[in-house]
Amino acid sequence: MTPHALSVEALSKRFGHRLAVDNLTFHVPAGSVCAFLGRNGSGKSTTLRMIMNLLDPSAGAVTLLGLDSRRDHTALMSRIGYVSESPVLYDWMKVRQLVRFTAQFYPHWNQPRVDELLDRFAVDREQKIRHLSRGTQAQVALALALGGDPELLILDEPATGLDVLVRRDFLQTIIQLIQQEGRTVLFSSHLLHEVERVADHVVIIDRGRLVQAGSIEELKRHSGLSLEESFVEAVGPKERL
Amino acid sequence: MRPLLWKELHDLRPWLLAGVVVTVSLELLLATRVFNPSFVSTWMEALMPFVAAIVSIGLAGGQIARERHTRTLDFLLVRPVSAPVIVWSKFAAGSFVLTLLMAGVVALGFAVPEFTSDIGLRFIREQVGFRQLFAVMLPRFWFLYGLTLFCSVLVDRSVKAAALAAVVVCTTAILAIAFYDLAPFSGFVYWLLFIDGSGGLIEAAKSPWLSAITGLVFSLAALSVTAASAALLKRSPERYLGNLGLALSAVAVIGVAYASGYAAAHRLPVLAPAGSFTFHPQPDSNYVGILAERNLAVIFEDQSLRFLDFTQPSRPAQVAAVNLPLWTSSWDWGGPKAALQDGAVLLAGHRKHLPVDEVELAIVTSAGLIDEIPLGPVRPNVYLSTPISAGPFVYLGVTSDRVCSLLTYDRASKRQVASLELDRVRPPSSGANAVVAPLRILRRGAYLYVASPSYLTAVDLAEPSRPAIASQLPAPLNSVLAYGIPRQLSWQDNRLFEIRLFPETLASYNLRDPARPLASGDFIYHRAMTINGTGRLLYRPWRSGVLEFRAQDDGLEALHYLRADDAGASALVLGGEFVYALSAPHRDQSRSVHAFRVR
Repeated sequence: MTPHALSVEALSKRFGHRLAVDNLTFHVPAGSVCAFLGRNGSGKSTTLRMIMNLLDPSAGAVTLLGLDSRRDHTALMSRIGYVSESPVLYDWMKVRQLVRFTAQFYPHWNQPRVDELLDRFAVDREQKIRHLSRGTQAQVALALALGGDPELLILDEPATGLDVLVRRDFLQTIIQLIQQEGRTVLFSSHLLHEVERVADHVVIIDRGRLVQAGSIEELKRHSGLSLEESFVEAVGPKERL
Repeated sequence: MRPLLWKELHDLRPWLLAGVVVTVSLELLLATRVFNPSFVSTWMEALMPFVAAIVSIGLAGGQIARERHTRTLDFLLVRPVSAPVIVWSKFAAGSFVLTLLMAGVVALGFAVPEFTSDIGLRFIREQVGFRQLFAVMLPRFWFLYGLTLFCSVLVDRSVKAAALAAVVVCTTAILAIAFYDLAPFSGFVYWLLFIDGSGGLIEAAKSPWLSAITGLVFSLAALSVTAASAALLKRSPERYLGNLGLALSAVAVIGVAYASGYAAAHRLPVLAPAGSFTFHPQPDSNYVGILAERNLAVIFEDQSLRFLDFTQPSRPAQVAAVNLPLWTSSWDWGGPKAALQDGAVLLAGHRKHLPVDEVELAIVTSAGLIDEIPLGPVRPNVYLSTPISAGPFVYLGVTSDRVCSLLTYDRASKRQVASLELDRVRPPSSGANAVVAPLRILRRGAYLYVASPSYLTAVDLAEPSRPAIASQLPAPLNSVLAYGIPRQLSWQDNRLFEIRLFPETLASYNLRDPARPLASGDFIYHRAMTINGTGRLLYRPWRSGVLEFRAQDDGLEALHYLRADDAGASALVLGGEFVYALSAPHRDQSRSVHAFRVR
C-alpha cells in the first residue's frame, strides 16, 4: 500500500454557528498529484489553511509526511511548500531581497530552481514586490514555495491571477516538474479541464463535507463519466464551477 | 533569526527615523533658544512618560497584529521557523529601537543643562543624571513594550493592540494616582512609570538598590510576557480576541483596577465621629486652627477663639467665644502657633501697636484674654514656632536673622529666662525657596525634640528654666530644595518620627536613650505634612478624615479610618480620649469639628 503524504482525519472547523468544514477525512498518496475541488465557499481554503496550521481545527487531526501537523509544524515546514490563494508578500522588498530573505529560513535551498522559475516567469529581480502585478506576485510566491525543494506542495487556487498564456502551462509544467521527482502535490482549483490533465487523484468537497475521494481513473471507471460530469453530479447541477 | 531581525528593523525604521528627527530637532530648538527652556520641565514632568508610552505602545502594537491583518504573518508561519523565534526576533528588534528612542526621550530632559529655575526640574536634576534616569526608565517601558507585544498577539489590528495597551496604561496610571492617596504607606511609587508628587521614580533612579530591583523585576516581566506571547502564537496563529473579546478585556482591566481601588479604599474598619460641631468662620479669617485638651476643643481664627465642650460628644456645645481685637494669629505650613494647657490657650501672634506692631504670646481662657507675654517688636525675618507650655514655663522656637533658638519664658514673670542657640540657617541657594519657618518642636517627657533645618536636637528639660542641648543629629538632606522645609515631629512608643520631603518619608529615630535619638530607618509615607500621636498610635489626615496607624518594625500599619466628612480634614489634634479633626471648608464655607473616640 502506498504511504500517505497527507492524511486528514475527521477535520472540522466552526466559525461561530457556521460549520465551514464538517468531519472531513481523506488521504493523499505519496507521489500523487491530487486536485482538491469544491465550489466557492465549500471550505477548500479553510481546509488547506488547517492543513498548514494557519487555522486551528475545531476537531480532527492532520498528518503530513508521517508527522503531526501541529506538533511538528516547524520541522515540517522545511519539507512542505505552500502557496495561498492571493499570496501576500513583503511588498517593500525587492524580489532579490525576498528570495534571499526566504532562503535563509531553509536548511536546503534550491537557488537554481528558483532562478529558473523566475526566469521562466520573466520576473525582474530588482523590482519591488509592490510594483509587481498580482499574477507575478503569485509566480514569485510559487518560486519561493519550490525553493525549499518540498516533498509536499500545497497550492490554494494557484492559477488565480495568472494571465491566460502563463496559466496554460502553469499547472502542467510546475506539477510535472514536482511529480517527476516523486513528490506530492495537493492543489485546489476551479479549472476542471486543466485539473483533469495533470491530476491523478481528486478530493471533492461540498459545504465542508467530503463528497468524493480517490483516483481519477477509478472515479471515471466507476461512474463512466468525465471528471466534470462527476463533479456536477456530486455538487448538484446548479453548482457548476 | 538574522533575516527576521533584518526585516523587523526595516519595519521599525520609520519609528527610529521619526524619533531621531523629533529629538534632534527639539534639542536644536532648545539649544538655539528658539524654544523656551521651560519646555524642558514640562517635558520631564509630563511629556517624557507620555511620549515614552506612545513609543513603547507604537513600536509593539503592530508587530504581530499588523502582520496578521495583512496576512504577511502567514508567509512567516509556513516557513521552517517557529512562532517563538518570530516573536523573540520581533522583541529583540523592538527592544533595540526602544533603547535608542528612550535614550533620546530621556536625553531631552537634560538638553539645557543650565536651566534650573523650575523647582520640579531642579529637584529631578539634583537627584539624578541622564544615566540613572535612563537606567530606571528603560526597563519600565521595556515591560510596557512587551505587554503591548502580548496584546498584539491577541488581536488582528495594530490599533486594537495599541488601544488595549493604552487602556491598561491609562487605567494603571489612574489607579496609581488614586493609590498615592489610598495607600500612603505603600512602596508602589517606586514602580511607577512617571514622576509623580512623591518622587518615587526619582528615588528609584537614585538608589542603586531600588534601581536594580525594579529594573530586574520589570525586565523579567518584559521577558515573561514575551515568552507568553511566543507560547500563544505557537499555540495558535489565530487572533485570540475579536471585537467583543477586546471590549470585554478592556472592561475587565478597568474592572480589576476599580476593584483594587475599591478594596484599598475600603480595607480599613471605619470609625464614625462620636460628635460633630459645625460653625461658620469669620469671613476674613486667613487661617482656622484647632487645639484640644481632653473634652475641650478650641478653634482659633485670626481674631477670635471658640471654646467647644465635648463632654457629651453627641451634643457638643460652644461654651465661649473670645474676640481679640487688633490681633493676628500667625501660622505657617499648617502648624498652629498655639498651645492649650489647663484650659488656657497660648497664642503666638501680632498685636497692632503704635509705632510698631508687637509680637506677643496671648494667654486666653474661655473667660477672655487673661495675660500677654510681650516678645518684642515685629521685625522682618523673625519666625516663631508653636509654643510648648510646660508647667510654669513656655518654650518657643524662634528663628531670627537665620539663627534658630529655643527661648524660655516664665509665665509668672512674663520674662524670657533663657535662650539656647540650636542652629544657624544657611543662606538660600539659587533657585531654592528662602527658609521661612523651619522649627518644629515636640515634647516627650523631660525632653524637647527640635527639628531645625540642619539638625534634630534633643533638649534636656531636667532644669526647666535652663534647657540644655543633650545631643544633636545632623538632618540628612536629600535635596537642597528640602532644606528649611519644616519637618513635623511625632512619637510612638520608643520612637520619634519626622516627616521629610524629597522624597516623602517618615524618618524614625530610636529613643531608648531619650537624650540621644538614633536614626533607625525610614518608612514610606505619602501626602501628609501633618502627623500627630498619642504615644501609642499615630494619626494623619487621610481621604475624608483621619487615618489611625502605628509603626511596626517592618513598616507602618493602617488601623482605622476615622471618617469625618467629604470636605476632608485640614487639621487634627489629640485630646484625652478624642481625636478632633477640623474639616476643610464645606460648600457653604462652614467648617466642622469631628470628635472621634479612640482607644
